[in-house]
Order: sequence, then C-alpha cells, then structure tokens
Amino acid sequence: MTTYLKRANKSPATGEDNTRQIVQTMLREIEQGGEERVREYARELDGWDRDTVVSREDFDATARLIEEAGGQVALPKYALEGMAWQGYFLDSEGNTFGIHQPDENAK
Amino acid sequence: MNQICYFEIEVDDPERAIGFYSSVFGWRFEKRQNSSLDYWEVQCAPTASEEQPEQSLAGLLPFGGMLRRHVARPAAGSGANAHVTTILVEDWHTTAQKIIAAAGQEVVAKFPVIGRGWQGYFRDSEANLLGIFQIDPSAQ
Repeated sequence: MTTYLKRANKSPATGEDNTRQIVQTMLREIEQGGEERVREYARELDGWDRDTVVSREDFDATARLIEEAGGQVALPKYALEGMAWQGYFLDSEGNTFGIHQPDENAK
Repeated sequence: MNQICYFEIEVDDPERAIGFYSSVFGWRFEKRQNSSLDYWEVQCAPTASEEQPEQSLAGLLPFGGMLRRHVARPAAGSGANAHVTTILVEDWHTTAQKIIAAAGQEVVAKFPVIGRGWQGYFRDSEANLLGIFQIDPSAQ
C-alpha cells in the first residue's frame, strides 16, 4: 500500500522548459551530493527535516509493523555479537518466524 | 542439492495471513489456478528468483507457498510451530529411505506437483516437519 507524503498539483506549467532545466540541475546535484543533498532540498522545498528513508532492514521498524499487523513477540530482540540483531515472532496464524538485521556493531 | 529450496506457511485464515505478510514484508501472494486444493504461491520482495536464483529451483518454483492447515494448529507453548521447509534432493526414494533409516517418519506420502516434481513430508528425529522435493517436469 502506498502512502503519499506529498503529491504534485498537475497543471500546464509542469511541462515548461525552465522547469525541465531546474529538475535536471536538481537531479545532477542529487547524483553528486547523494542523500545529503536530498535532505537539503527536502528542508528547502518542503520544510521536511525528518527521516527520508524508511528501511525494511530496520529491526525495530519491522517489529512495530509485525505487531500492528496482528503478530506477537515470541522471543525479544537480542544481539548476535558482532554480527546482527535477531528476534522471533508469531505471525497472524501462530507460526513462529525470525527476523534478522545484519549489524557488525551489535552487542 | 540437499539445500532448503522452499517454504510453506500453514494458515487458518488465508486473507488474514496475506494481510500480515504483505503489510509487514511486502510479499505477494498469487492463488494457484487449476489446483485441487487452495494454494497460494508466495513471492518474497523483490521476487525470490531475482534475489536467490539458486534457492528457487532455478526459477522452476516461487520461493514459497501458503495453504490452509489440515489439522488444528499446535497449542500455544508447544514449541516451534514454524514455516515448513522443503529440501531439494537428487533422488526422492534414496532420500526417503535414508530418512526412515535415520529414525525419521513419513507424514505425507510422495505425490506429484504436476509438471514440476515429486514432493513428500517427513518428521525428523526431533519430530520437526520437513519436505523433500525432486525436480521432474514429467511428474503426473
């Protein structure tokens, strides 16, 4: 399911040449400056100063999703030292499964 | 060969389970057509064959499946009650004989997955359920 953080108003101006130039410049800067430049643009254009990336690789975020979706914790998060975070859950049907997030700093 | 190649999720309520796995992990479920029992193929995201071609029977099968439980779910606290994994084998009968010789038990006798291969289920020495599968496009 898609949740939109922002949506554009479609208007004839969308196709103008200088819009294209501005977008090309932005894309080039993002290519060079990476995520930091994206954050700057988000602050400048949208006043957005929070996380821009929600990763499914994040243990805690996935754990929250599991509980919201009707799952339960079977064995809470623990560190596999120097390797990863691990934990076990029950799905909506009572099946056990684990989630695993690689992290060299886990301890 | 002899690696885990497939998993199955047994459920009481397919719609609820699809909701769970699609909202948490973005997995996709597609109901198998022309099947004598209700069966859903599971595509992990991104598709299993893109990420783990060696574990998806070279694209022959999706990485997982979902079906209704045919017996009651084990009671809470009765130990791991998990996704059932299937192990890809060279020769079904040879492996079945080894399982029995090693104190395993047959649970579901060999049956064809039409056009794909042969499947059966066993319990290991610890009573864990596991499947074995031999590729055979001529299986009927």
